[in-house]
Amino acid sequence: MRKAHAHEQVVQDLPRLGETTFKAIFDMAGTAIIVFDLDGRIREFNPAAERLHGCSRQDVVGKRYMGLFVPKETRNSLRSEMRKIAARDIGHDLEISIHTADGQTRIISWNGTRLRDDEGTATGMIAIGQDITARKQTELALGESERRFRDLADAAPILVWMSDIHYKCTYVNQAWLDFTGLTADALLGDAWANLIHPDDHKLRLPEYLDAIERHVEFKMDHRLRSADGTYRWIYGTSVPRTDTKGEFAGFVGCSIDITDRRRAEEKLRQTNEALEGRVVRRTAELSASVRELRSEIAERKDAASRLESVMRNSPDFIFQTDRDGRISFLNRRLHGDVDDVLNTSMYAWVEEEAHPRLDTALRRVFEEGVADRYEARVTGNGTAEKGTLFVFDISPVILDEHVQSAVVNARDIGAQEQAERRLREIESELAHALRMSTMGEMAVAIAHELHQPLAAVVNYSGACTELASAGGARGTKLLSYLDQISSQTLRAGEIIRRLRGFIEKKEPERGPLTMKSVIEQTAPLLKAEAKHHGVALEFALANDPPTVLGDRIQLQQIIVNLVKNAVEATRDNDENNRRVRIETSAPTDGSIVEVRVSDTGPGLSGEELRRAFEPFYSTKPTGMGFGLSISRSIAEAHGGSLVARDAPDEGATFCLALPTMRQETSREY
Amino acid sequence: MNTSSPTVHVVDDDPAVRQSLRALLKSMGRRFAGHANAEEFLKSYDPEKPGCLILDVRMPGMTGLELQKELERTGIEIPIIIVTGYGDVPTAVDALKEGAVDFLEKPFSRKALVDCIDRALAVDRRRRAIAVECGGIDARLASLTPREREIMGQLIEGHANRKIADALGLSVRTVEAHRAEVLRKMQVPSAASLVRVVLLSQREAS
Repeated sequence: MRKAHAHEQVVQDLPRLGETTFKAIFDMAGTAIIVFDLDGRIREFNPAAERLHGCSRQDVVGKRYMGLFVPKETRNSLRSEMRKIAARDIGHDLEISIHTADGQTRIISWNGTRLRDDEGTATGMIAIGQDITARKQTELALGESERRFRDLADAAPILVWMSDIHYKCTYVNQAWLDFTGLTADALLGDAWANLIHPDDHKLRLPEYLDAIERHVEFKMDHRLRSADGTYRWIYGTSVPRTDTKGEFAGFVGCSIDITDRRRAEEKLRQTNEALEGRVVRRTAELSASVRELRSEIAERKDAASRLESVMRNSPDFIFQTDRDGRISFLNRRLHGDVDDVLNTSMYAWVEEEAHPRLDTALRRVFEEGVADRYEARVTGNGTAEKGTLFVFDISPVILDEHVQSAVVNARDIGAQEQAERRLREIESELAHALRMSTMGEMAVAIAHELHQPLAAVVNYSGACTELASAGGARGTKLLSYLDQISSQTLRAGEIIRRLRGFIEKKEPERGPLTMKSVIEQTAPLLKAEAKHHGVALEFALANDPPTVLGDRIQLQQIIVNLVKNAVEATRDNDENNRRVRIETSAPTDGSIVEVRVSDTGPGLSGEELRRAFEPFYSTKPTGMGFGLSISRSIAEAHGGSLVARDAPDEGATFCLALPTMRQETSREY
Repeated sequence: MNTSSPTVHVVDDDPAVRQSLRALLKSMGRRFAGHANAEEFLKSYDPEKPGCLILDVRMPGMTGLELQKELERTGIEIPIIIVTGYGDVPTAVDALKEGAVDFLEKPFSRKALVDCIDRALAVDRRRRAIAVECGGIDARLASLTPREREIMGQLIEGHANRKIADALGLSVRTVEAHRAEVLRKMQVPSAASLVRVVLLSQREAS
């Protein structure tokens, strides 16, 4: 506007400048100046116009500008522009494109003003033109660039944005709109930031702010809310941009949706992990296998050394022989050196009378391939003491279906016999000790029981004294009392004899006997114990009892033990409900005789039932826990059994079962 | 033997002990009754007849101490000699606490037995005498008039007729008449006897 105004001033002042001055300006001006007549013919054409149109003044003066330079398609619009100029005094700007004489196309910006003479009559028009071709072209190019950028940006599948120097978003591309489902207005400024996932926003904001403050490039992964409301992972980069003068103009950035990529990466990572896991497992399996193998090797070594140790430390002689009885291996030294024995014959070991038996054994082992066993006394030749009884177990060693050699295990059973005897002795001593202890516990009861006949004796003797001092008139009575004294004394003696019999220390001795007699013989002791504890003792002994083979004292011990336990079991009952019953019965086939001792006590709990026969297990405050254990040992040593039974709401029952003897051999001892 | 001579009851489950005691006691001219257990004794015992009880503590069924308690509960006052076995002192002590007159440890000598029986029978005799003296005391007391009971109270406290007359605001003659009536109704010969009967009956009652 300002420019146009100045130009206007120049035109109005022109006449005052004078013809000469005007001519000079006209010739010297850098801008094209053309003067037209009312018909649009060229009257003046300055040098600048010559340069612009590529022709000289004389070529164009008197000719119509329109016909010379203006392309046909724009002539009409130019005509109407020209009419606007002719209609007013003020200048009028217009731009037209011309074809120059030298064949170029130029865009000229004209300012046209009508000319009038001093009388004010229109004489023509003056136009001052400037070549704006270059500028126009630049403008055109710029517009094109801008359009291309937008087209490109909108067509791109990535999110593109731009911000100004205040970091406000000024542009988002179509992809943004598509991604967010929002309009550009809802994204520009700072609004876009609301779409970032709150966690990422918090986390990355300081970094982002730092980057933009410093005008440096920034990259980050974050989540962005998409049109469907879900957050998707975005990888964004932003770089500072500058204007044409190279000054900071804001940021431009682009972001890509990496959700699928991340998923793929995650999947890959998982696959990798799984793969690594499998590798680790497989490695572990392999090393476990290696370990197993190692331990197996160690075990085998161990087993070999154990076997060797067993062989070496066995109390038996273990050796290998051939068909002729020649010894080729021996597990341990005898009296002499192993080498002294090797290659000697095992015939030299045993007494001569056993040689035929050894022949048979070797034949059976080597020819029939079966193991054999025989007993023989040894010569004392390098082994044990002469005459010791050995048992020889000979087994074939079979290789490739042939008896290759024989392994002999020679055991000194003399020592074994002795050990068994010793064990029996110890058991017998233990049983005896227990009988003593039992009697100790029953002493008060037995003493009481002894006092009954003694009291009777004293009373009868008192009666005799009375009768005698009153005179001998009552001889019959006196004799009867003396008789009573004798029988009560015997009664006391019987108790003492049973007691002695029970606690007697005697070698175990078995003979035929009946359980009825065993029970009856202990009855005085049992009754004493029962009475002492206020317990009613019932006997139900079957007549015609079968005979068993047994040790009388040991069997009595079982009975006393069972009854004593039963009596003690009822101690917490009412006085009229303390009952113990001993009964004998034999099942119909007569092979077994059973003695049952039952009580009215509380019975046995599950644990008591299970553990009753364990040594040291006792429910009694002063019990040693040996009675039932020994009783069962005795029963089993007699080929019988001792078991406990418990019936609900009843007391305990202990059953002693013993095998009976065949009829012809049974005669009680 | 006349029917009023006392009976020695023996409760012992051992027949030999029972029969030997029977022989001994009979030889000494005592009346004897043997019982195999406590229940048998309770069934046959007649409290009207004098006697004592020799009781074995240890028996199946009802024990000696239980029988003793049962007798106490039913008010039967037969004197009891407890017989224990060997070393059963705690039981004997219990029995004595419960009122047994004595205890014997088996086997016991004839003399010890006789002494115990004699002591027990003496106790029985005394109890029975008191019972006779005090018998019907309630009926006798009930027959007294209020005034006579008042005078009896004064007599028991040992006051003389004169003092009673002064205390009750009566003439001595009246008091004497009442006094004679009290002694007659209470069936006692003297004031001293009256005091004894009343005191005995009070002790019985307690």
